[in-house]
Amino acid sequence: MIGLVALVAAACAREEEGRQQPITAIRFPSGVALSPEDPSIPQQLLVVSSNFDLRFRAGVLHAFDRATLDRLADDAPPSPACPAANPRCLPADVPDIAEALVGAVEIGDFGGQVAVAALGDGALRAFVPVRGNHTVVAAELGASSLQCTQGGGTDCVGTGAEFPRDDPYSVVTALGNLYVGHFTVLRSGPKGGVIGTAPVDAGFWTTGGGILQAIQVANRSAIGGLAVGGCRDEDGAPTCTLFASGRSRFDGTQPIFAFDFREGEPMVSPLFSRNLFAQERGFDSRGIASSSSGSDVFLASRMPDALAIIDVSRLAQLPTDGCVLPEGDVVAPGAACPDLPPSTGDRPAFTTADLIPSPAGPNTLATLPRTMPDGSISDLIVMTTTEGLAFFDTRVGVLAATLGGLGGAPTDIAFRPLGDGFRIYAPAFSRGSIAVVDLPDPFRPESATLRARLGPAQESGL
Amino acid sequence: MRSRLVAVAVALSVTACGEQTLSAFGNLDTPISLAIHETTSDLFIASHGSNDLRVYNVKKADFLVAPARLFPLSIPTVRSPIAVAAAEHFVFVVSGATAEVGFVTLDVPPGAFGPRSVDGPDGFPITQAIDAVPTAAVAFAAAFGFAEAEGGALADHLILAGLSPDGDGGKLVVVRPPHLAPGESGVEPLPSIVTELELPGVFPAGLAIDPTGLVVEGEEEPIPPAIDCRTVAIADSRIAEGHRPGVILTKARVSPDGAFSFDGPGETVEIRVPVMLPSGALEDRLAGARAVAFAPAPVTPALVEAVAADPCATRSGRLFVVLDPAYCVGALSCPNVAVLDLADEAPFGVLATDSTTGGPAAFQLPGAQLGLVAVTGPFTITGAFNPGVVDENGRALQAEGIPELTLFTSSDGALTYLAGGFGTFLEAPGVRADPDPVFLLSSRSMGPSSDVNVSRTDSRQRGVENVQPAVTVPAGARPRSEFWTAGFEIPLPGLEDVGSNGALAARSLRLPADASITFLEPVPVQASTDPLLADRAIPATFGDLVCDGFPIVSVSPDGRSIEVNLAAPGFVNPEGCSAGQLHVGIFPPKGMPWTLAGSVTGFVGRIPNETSRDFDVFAGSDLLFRFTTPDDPLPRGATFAWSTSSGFDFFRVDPGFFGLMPASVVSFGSASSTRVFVAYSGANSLLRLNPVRTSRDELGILQ
Repeated sequence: MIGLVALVAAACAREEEGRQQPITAIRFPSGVALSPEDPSIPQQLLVVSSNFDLRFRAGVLHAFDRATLDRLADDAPPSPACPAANPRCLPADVPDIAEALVGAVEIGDFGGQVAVAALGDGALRAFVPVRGNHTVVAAELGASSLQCTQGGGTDCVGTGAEFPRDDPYSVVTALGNLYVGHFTVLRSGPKGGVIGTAPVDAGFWTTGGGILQAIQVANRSAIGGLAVGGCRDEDGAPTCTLFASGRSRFDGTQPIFAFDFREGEPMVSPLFSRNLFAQERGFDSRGIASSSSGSDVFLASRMPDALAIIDVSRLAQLPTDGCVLPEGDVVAPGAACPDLPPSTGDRPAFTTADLIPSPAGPNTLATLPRTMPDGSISDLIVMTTTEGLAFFDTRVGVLAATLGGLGGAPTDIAFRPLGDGFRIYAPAFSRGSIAVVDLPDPFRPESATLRARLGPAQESGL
Repeated sequence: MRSRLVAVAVALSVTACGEQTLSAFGNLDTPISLAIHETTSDLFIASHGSNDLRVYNVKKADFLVAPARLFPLSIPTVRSPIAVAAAEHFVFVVSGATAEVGFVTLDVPPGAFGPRSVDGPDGFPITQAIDAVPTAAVAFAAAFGFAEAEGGALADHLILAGLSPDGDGGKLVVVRPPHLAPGESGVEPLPSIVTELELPGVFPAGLAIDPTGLVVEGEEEPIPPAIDCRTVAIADSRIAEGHRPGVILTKARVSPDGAFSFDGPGETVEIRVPVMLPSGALEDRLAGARAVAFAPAPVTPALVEAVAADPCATRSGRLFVVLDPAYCVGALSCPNVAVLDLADEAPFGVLATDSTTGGPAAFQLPGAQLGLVAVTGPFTITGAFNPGVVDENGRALQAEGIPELTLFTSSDGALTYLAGGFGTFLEAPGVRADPDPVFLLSSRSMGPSSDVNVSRTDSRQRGVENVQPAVTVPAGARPRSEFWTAGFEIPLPGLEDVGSNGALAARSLRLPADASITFLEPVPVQASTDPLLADRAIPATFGDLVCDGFPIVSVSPDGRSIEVNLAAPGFVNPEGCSAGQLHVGIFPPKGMPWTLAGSVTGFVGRIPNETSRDFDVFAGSDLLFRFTTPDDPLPRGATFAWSTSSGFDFFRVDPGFFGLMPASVVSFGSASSTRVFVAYSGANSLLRLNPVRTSRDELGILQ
C-alpha cells in the first residue's frame, strides 16, 4: 500500500523541488516520539515528514507542543456528518495545527523514526536516521525552538553522523547511548546487517564529521526494529538490553539479536542471536518491543502477519550437563550430575512462546503497561497495521481490538498516560496527519476511539 | 495482498511440481478460525481480512458458491472475526475488533442462498455485546430447547470465555442466538446472554465441552436424561504468585425447561510437570494451560445408559492440554503439552503415563503449540512407529490400530502426532475404563542403538589398529542424537594452545590478554597437588619426543593463569620438552588420560587409565551410554568417534511454505473418513488432511 501511494505521489513529484515543505503540514510521516517530561521544556511531540514523494527540497522534523495538540484534539468541533445524539461518530479533523508548532528543521529525504534523549546538562536532543544520505541527524529541543545540533539553524541536511549502511531507519536511545538500525541489505555498498551506535552527547554531533560505530550482527538480514528492555541494576550500574529484530527477505532466515549495554559502554555482553525460522517458519520481522517485565519481546512479523511473543528470560549457560561415572554409580532420578562446572554466564532463551494472527501489514509495536488489581503489570500491545491499529492482550495472547480510520498506514506509535488509560499518537502515512487515539480503559481495548486527525490531509492522501 | 500473491504464486509452482493439490477456490483472506457443522458437513471459515465467512462442504469437497456462481459464497458478518463456532441451527461469530458476537443462521428457506448472517432492519448484523475481552468459544446444542426453531426446538448455545474488564480474572458468558420467547410473535428475534460465570483470578485461554454421549449412531432414540449436564474444561494460563493455574472443570446444566446454569467456578486440576534446568536436573513446576480438548468417548449403548444413570458424569476419559510456556522461565526445556486422565471424584484429573518412558505424559513438542484436535480412530499410519515397543532387533513397531489421535499445531506450521488414547472414559454406569497407552508417534523405526560403531579418527594407528574402546547402550538408557569424541591423551576442548612453553620455566603460564578462553571455561582445568589427578600442561613436540608434561597445581581465581609442578615424581620430560618455542596445550591427568565430549551434551569428563573397565555416561540422571576402555594401551592422541541416536523423531505433517501461522484446527468424521482442516492465516490457505495419508503430495491446499 505504501508503495502504491508512493507511486501515485511520485507522479506529481519534483514540481516543487527546491521549495521548503510547509512546516505546519505533515507529509508522509514516518516517525513520532514524545519528549520526556521536563520542568523546563514542555513536552513536545516530534514528527518526521519523510518527503517520500520528493516534492520538496527536504524532509522535516517537526516539534509540536503536546498540550496544544491535545487541546486542539479535545476541543475540535464534532463532524457535521454525525447526528446530535452521537456527535463523536466520526473523528474530528483538525487541519490547522500551526499554533502547536514549536519548531521545525529540515533533515533530508526519506527520514525514518525519531528518538529523544536527555543529556546530562538537562538539554533534550532528537535523533532522526535519514535514508536519503545515510546519516543520523541531531536537533536540540528548546522550550520554543528546534535547532540543528550542528551549527544551529534549521537546515540540518547533511549534518550529524554518517551511518555505515544504506537505509538507516529505526532508532532508540537509552543510558546515554544511541542505536540505529537499517532496514535493507539489498542495495549496493557494504553488505551485512549492523547496528550503529554513538554516545548521545558525543562531540561530533555539534562539530560534525562523526561516524556511528558499527556493531556487526548478521550477514543476510538488516534490522526491522530496535527496542530497549530488561533494564536492571547489575554490579551497581544500570544495565539494559538492546533487542533487534532481524529483517530478512529470505525464506529460512528470521534472526533476533540482543546484547547488554551501560552508560558509556554501548555493548557489555556478547552478541546473542538466534534464527527463529525453525520456530516460526516466517521471515521479514519488523517492529520489536520489550515487555514491561523484560522477560519477553514482541515481534511484528510480516511473513506471516502475526504478533510473535519471544521468551528472552535469561538461562544459565553451563558447558555441559553430563558426567562420567564408574559402572554401578548412578545419578539420582531428577538430579544433576555431580561436580558440574559453574555457569559461564547467561543468555536469552530466545524461544517462541506464542504466535498470534494479526491484521495485514504489521509494522511497529508499543507496549502499554497496565496495572492489575494486585499491583502487577500486564501488557497491552498496540501494533500498527496497514489499516490501523491492532491491540493484543498478553494476559492470554489474543487479538483484543482493532481500530481503523486513522488515515491509512500508521507508521509509528507514541503514547502517554491519560487518566486510567492512554493517549496514542500515530502518524498516518497515507493521509499525512497525526491520529490521536484515546484508550480510556486499557482492560477494555475495544474502548479505543479515534479522537481526532491532526493536520491537513496531503493531496495524495486517502 | 502481498502474502496472498506470494501464496498463490507458490501454490501454482508447487502444483506444477506435482507435490500438492490446489483444490476448489474459496478466495480466503486471512482465515483465522474454523468450525464444523456436522449435520450438513459444512466447514465454516472465518476470514479476518474479508470480515466474512466462507463455507466449504467437506463431503462435496467444494466451496459453497455465491448467487453469482463464479464466486464463493461470502457471508458478511461482524468486523474482524477471530472465532467461529457451530451449533445446530446457528453459527456464532466472535468479533476481534469489538467485544461482540454475530450470528449466522443455517435455516435457509427453500430457494434462498445461505447460510446467511442474521441482520437487523438496518442491514447490519445483529450482535450481542460482551463485557469482556473474548478469548475462546465453544458452541453446542443442548438436549432441551429454550425456543422454537425450524424443524424443532432451538437449543443452541455459545459458551464464550473472556477476560474481565476489571483486569483481575475472567468469566464465561453464555449466549443464545436470536430467538423469540415462548408465545412471543411479531417482534424482532434478539440474542441474549443467559448467564455468566465469574472466574476470579483466572485468565481463561481455552475452552472445551465434554462429548454429548446421548446418541448412538444406528441405535434407537435414547432415553433422554433428566438433565443435560456436561463437563466444561477451562484452560487457565495465569502464572502469578499465590495463584494455582491449570485446568478448571465445571458443569454446564440445561434442564428440560431450557434453563441454563453452571455448577459454580469448578475444580482446578493442577498440572505439575517436570522441567529440565540447565544443569540437567529436573524440577516440578505448576503449568498454566493455553488450550484444551477432550478425548472422544466411545459412544456405545453402555455409555448412553451410564449418562442416563448419572447425567453429570464426565463422558470423556482424557483431556489434552496445550501448556502456556510462561512457567518455563530459566528452564532449558519444559513440556508444552500434557495429557490428563479424568475422574468423577477428586482428584478429577491426574497426569496420564507416557507408555514409552513410564513417566508423566507431558511432552515438549517443536515450536510453540497453538492448538489441538482429538480424532477417533482406529488409525494405522504408514511411516509412524510406536517408540515404546521395540522388537528383538531393536526396531520400533509400526503404529497400527491407534484408537485415537491428537494432533497439535505448532508455530512452525507443522502438526505433531500423539497417540493419546481414550483414557478413563465412562464405560458403563458407574464404571470408568482403565487408561490406555499414551505415546508420541515416531518417524524412526530404529530404536536407541544398542551397539554403536566406534571408529578411529586420528592418523597414528600403526600397530594398534584393533585397539579401541567399546560403546554400548544398555537397556533403559536414553541416548541423545549427537556425535561423540573420545581421546586418549588429547588436549581438552578449547585448550589446545594456551601459550608458549617458555613461560613454564617460571612455573606459571598466563593467557594473553585477548584470549577468548580461560582456564575456567569452556572446560574448567582440574588442578591438584596429586600429580596423577591434575591436568597437565604439555608442550607440543614432534617425532619421537614424548613429554609427560607438568601437572597443574593451581588456577588463579580469574582463570587466566596456572601454576605447574616442574618436577612431579614419576613424570618423564626429556630435555627437548623445555624448548621455549613450543606451544603448550592442556591435557587430562596422567592417571585419567581419557576424555569424552558430545556435540550436544558437551565435555563430560576424564576417565581413569584402566583397561577393560566400564564407565557410564550421564546427562542429568539419564544414562546415555556405557563406555568400555580397551584391553590394551594406546599411544597419545588416539582419538575415536561415534554417534548415538535417541531412536526417536517426532512424526509430523509439514505443509512447507503453506505452513504460515496455523490459526485454527478442526476435524470431521472418524477413522478412515477423518478429515482434518487447518487454517493457515499467513498463507491465506486451508490444509485438508487425511491423518493416515501424510506424504506431501497427499495434502490438499484450499485457497
